[in-house]
Parts: sequence; structure tokens; C-alpha cells
Amino acid sequence: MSDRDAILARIRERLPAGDREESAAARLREHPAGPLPERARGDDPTLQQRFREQAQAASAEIIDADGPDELPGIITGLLDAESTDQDPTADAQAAAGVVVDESLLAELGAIGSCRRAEPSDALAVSRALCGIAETGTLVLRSGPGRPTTAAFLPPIHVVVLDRTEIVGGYEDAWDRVRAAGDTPRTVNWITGPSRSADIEQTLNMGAHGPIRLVIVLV
Amino acid sequence: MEVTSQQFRASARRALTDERLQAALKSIQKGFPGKRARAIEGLPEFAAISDHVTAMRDHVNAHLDVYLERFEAQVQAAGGRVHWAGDAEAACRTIVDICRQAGARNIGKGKSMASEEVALNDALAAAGMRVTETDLGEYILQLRGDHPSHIIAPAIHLRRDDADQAFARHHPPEQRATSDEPAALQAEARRVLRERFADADVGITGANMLIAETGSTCIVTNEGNGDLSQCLPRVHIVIAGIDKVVPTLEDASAMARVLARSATGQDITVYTTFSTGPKRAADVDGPEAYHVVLLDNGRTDLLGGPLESMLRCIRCGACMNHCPVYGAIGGHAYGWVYPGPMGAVLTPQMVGIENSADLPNASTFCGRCAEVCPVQIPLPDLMRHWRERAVEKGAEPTFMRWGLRAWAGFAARPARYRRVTRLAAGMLRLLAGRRGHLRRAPLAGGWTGTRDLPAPAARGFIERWRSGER
Repeated sequence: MSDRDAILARIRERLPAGDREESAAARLREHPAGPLPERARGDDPTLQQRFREQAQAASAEIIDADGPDELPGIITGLLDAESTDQDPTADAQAAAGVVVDESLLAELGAIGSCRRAEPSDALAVSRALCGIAETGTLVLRSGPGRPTTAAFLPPIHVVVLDRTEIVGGYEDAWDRVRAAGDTPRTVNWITGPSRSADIEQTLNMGAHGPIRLVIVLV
Repeated sequence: MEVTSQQFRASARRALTDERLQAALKSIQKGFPGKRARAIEGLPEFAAISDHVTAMRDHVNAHLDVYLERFEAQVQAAGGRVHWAGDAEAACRTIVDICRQAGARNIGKGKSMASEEVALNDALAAAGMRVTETDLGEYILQLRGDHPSHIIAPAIHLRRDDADQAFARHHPPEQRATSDEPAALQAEARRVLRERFADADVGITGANMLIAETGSTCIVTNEGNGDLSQCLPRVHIVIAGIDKVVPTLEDASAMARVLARSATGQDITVYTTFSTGPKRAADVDGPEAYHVVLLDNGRTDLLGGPLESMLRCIRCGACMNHCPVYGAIGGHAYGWVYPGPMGAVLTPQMVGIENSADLPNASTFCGRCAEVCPVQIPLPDLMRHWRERAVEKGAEPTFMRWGLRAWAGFAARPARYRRVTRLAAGMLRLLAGRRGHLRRAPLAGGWTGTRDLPAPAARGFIERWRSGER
């Protein structure tokens, strides 16, 4: 017997007999939500404010922009500041490349390109599908023109988020992902920049992923 | 990993006098419980969500075959492959084969307790492959030839100079940090591991959840290493216990609300990543192949039995963070992969109670583990179950078996019991003299080693009751 059949047989032997298909199928079909926390609810301004507070509490930086046309100035500003800063990880010093989400090439095509990220990149700009107010979480998904590596290799990760795309809880975000089509290869929930406390429980940013997470609200 | 749970007593005694370990353990008890309590304070609905997640986990256990088959079908529909492994050997063989077929030489690994359970690194190394653990704590342990002592903070027993020394031995001088500050050491590991990520042909990660609805695997991390381990290499392999399956994305969301709060005291970890199949044709990046290895290794034996609730476990580590025994001796003394109260339940299941009979006794039964468990596993009850099995199998130490038998025979004869205890009490009183307490007492060195024994009262309770005292 294959391991597969043996494992399934052992499970069936130990579970009470009966039709389990239907109740499992119903849960999959209806995908009911559990208790929704108060902090995942509220009108748009409340949720936007909560998103802002929660993201900042997770050490994300927030920049308010009137529209995408302000992006080139913001990105250039971040790159200039970085080149004069003493970067503790040193991998940004020689870094130069900029990765840009395809949907932002109109604004940022002169600064970067849409491709897989490389270790030598200095910065990446992604576009979030939505933001989740309850924990200040960004939702990104892989797909054509949306490299996943952009969120993890460069030391600075900039994420452009439309204020009107801020939802309350995780379940609302899944509604958006489902509405956008087939399940993508990767859905990333990102809450603040990379960190570790593995050495003496001392928390430091920039473990393997970005040292700075900058959210540009448009 | 070799099972050393048989030497629990000796290991625990050593741990108690290890000053470095004791300092590290103090910081756990200072850190995690407070952070967890604050995180839960920020979510007034925590208890209701915990009830919901507990019920969901029970529902999954009652429909485990259906959800696993659905998960498998959905992974396949997304272009991935599912492999089933009955035991550790099957899991290792499957993964080594996948790596060989991919022509892999270098393997990058995210943190995975299931991979520790099956000793995957040894199997890959024996097959001539170079495996790099990429979680910072796991990486330091790997360089030292050490093993995790905590399921979410693996290197909690080490200090910065341990990391510094490990790096000095293994990193080229030009990549060394200029100080032993944690931030500098972390940056050094980042520099070195970037090359490993770039070299990796295969990336292996664990999974915190498997989602039946979509065939997704989900990992929660703070560092981003698990993500780099899967979006850069050509092949992504996930290894996960069959107990990790949840029905839907909504169920995964509810679980995410209790997982990080219970573990690190964060509202949510930095990265929660849902991976479904290999990269799509038009995707910019991602792995070309995606495999999920479903591991049984004794889990199905828990189903339908007195330990079934252990299958709810979401591996948050709250039980060990709040355990006075874990806090006193650390994780290594438990002698295998899973330490603390959850380990005292799982280890006997996976390595045999005859090899780990002391673990269910490594508890004061204070009940804090059950109190903080987000999926409400009655851990002390489950440990009691193993105590009973140990006695049935005669796996408890000989002196305990004879001692208890003698006591049972004695206690079942009340008249003789009272006569002898009255006599013993009188003798103790005599020995205590006017001091009223004993510095040493026969057969009670364990008690008097660190404190005095008060002399018994002149007349016992029953005597006084009989004489009409009320």
C-alpha cells in the first residue's frame, strides 16, 4: 500500500463511520468567517486611521501623496537619503537597481524597470492590492508585472497603496483576492519591515528582507 | 536527532547549574508572557476567537481525510505535487529524491520543526547536498552543530558571544562584523546568507497552515528568510505534518489572529505568506516546481484516542513560555525536538514512552500551559495519560515502582498506618528537640537539603477529632 493510502486508511479507521463529505464540503463552499474583531470594523476614515496607526506601530513608515505623479520625487528622495546614510547592512552601498511594479512604469519608468529583483538592487516599488486596517497589513500578490522578489531582496521596499483600498479585516482582503481571479502563486501579507530577535532576544530590523518599509498612500 | 529523553534527570540537573543557560531562561520568562498578555489585551475578542479556532481544529480532526484529499487535489490543480510520508524515513527519501531529480547541490531552508522531527538535514547531507538553514537562530545552531531548544525561538539558549564565535569560525574575515552587538552580527549573517539564497537550487520551508480550499501552504515569519527560500530557487518543497490543514482562508485568518499573539506577542508576524503551486506562465519570478510533503509520523495514531486534542496544536510555544519547568531547565533537557508541555505529550508518541518516561513527570501540574493554550489543549490531562501508560508499561524508575507499591500496601491498612505514623512522628519530634525543626531527617534528604523540616505536632488530626476537639 502506498503511504498515501495507508495514511488515509488509518484516518478512516479511527474516525467514526458516517458521511463526512457533506459537512466538509459545506464549510469549503460557504467559507464562514469566525468572530470579527471590533478593530476590523468601522467607516472608511476610521479604518484608514487605524491602518495608519497599526502600520506605524509595526515600524512601517507612511508618506502621504496626492497622486502617483509625486512618486518619482519620493523615490529619488529615498535613494538620495540612503546613499548619504551609513547603512548598517552595507549591501545598499554598492546597490543601484530599482525594481518597479509594472502598473507604475508610467511614473517610474525612468528610475527603474519591472523585473525579478537582484541582490544588488537598492529599492523596489510594489503596488498593494489592499491594506488591512486591523493590523496595518499590506496585501501583495504575485502575477504578471508584479515580482515577489521585490518585497524581500532590496533593503528598501516602497509599497503604493490606494487609500480607498483599505479594508477592515483579513476576511475582507480575501474577498478582494477572490474577486481579482484565480489564486495567485503567492499572496504576501506584510506588516512592517523584516526583523529578528534571535540573538539575545534583541529586536533588530532588516534580518533578511527590507530594513525599511515605506507605504505611500495615494 | 538522537533521542536523549532517557537522560532527562541528569540533563535537567546539569541545566539547573548552567549559569549561562539560566540567564537566557530568565529573559524568556521576562519577555514572552508579558508581550502575550499585552497583545491579548489589545484584542478583547481573543477568547471568542480561541473558542472558534478550537472548534475549527476539532472539526478538521473529525474530517481529516476529506480535507487532506481536497488539499491534495487543489495543489495538483495549481500545478504542484503532493507526496505522502508515513514516517521520517519516507519523508527524507522523498525530499532527497526530489532534490536529486532537480540536480540540486545547494539547498536553502526556512525554519521547520517537521524537518527537525525527521532529521532532514542529515539525510540531505548524506546525499551529498549542502543545506543552509536561513532563519538567523537556526543558522547559528547549524554552524555550532546544535539543535533548537525552543520551537519559535530556536537559539534562545545562546548568547551573543556564542554567535560571534560561530561566525568567526565559519565566515571569511572580510565579511566579519566589527562588533559583537546583536545588530552587527545580524547584519553579518545577512551578508553571508544573501549568497546562499542566490546559490540555492532548491528551497525547503515548513508550513504553519495548509489550506484545503485553495491548496495553499502558509508560513508566518519575521525575517523574510522563508520567503527568499521559496521565491529565488527553481524548486520549492514544503514539508508539513498532516495536522496543519485548515479548511478555508477564513479559517486561516482566524488562526492568524491567535497564532502570533500567543507566540511572540505580536498582533501578527511581519510576513504571512500563502503559496499556491509553482510560478504561473506570465509571472515575473517564483519557483518552477512546487512540492508538498505531508508527514504522518505517528499523528494518525492520536486520532480518535485520548490524545486527539493534541492534533489541534498550532505550535505557538505559549505552553513552554509559561511553564515553570521549561523556564528552569530549558528545551535541550527534554532530549528531543519538541520541548515543554507540548513536547512532553508529543515526544512519547513519536519516540515511545519507554524512551521518554520522565517527560510527562516534568510538570508541576500548575496548569498554566492549558490556560494559555490558544486551542485549549488540556496539556496536564494529556501528560497524566502518559504517566498512566508509563506505569502500565513499567517504564517508570524501579525505586518509584517499589516505593509506590509499598506505600499502597501500607495506606490500605488504616490502623497499622496510624500506629506507624504516630510512632514516626514521635521519633521526629524527639530528634527535633527544643528547636522544633530538623536540619536533617532520614530518607528525606531531598527535602532537608535546602530547608528545615518542622517537627510534627504532638497529636495528629484524627486523634484530636476523636477526642472531641472541633
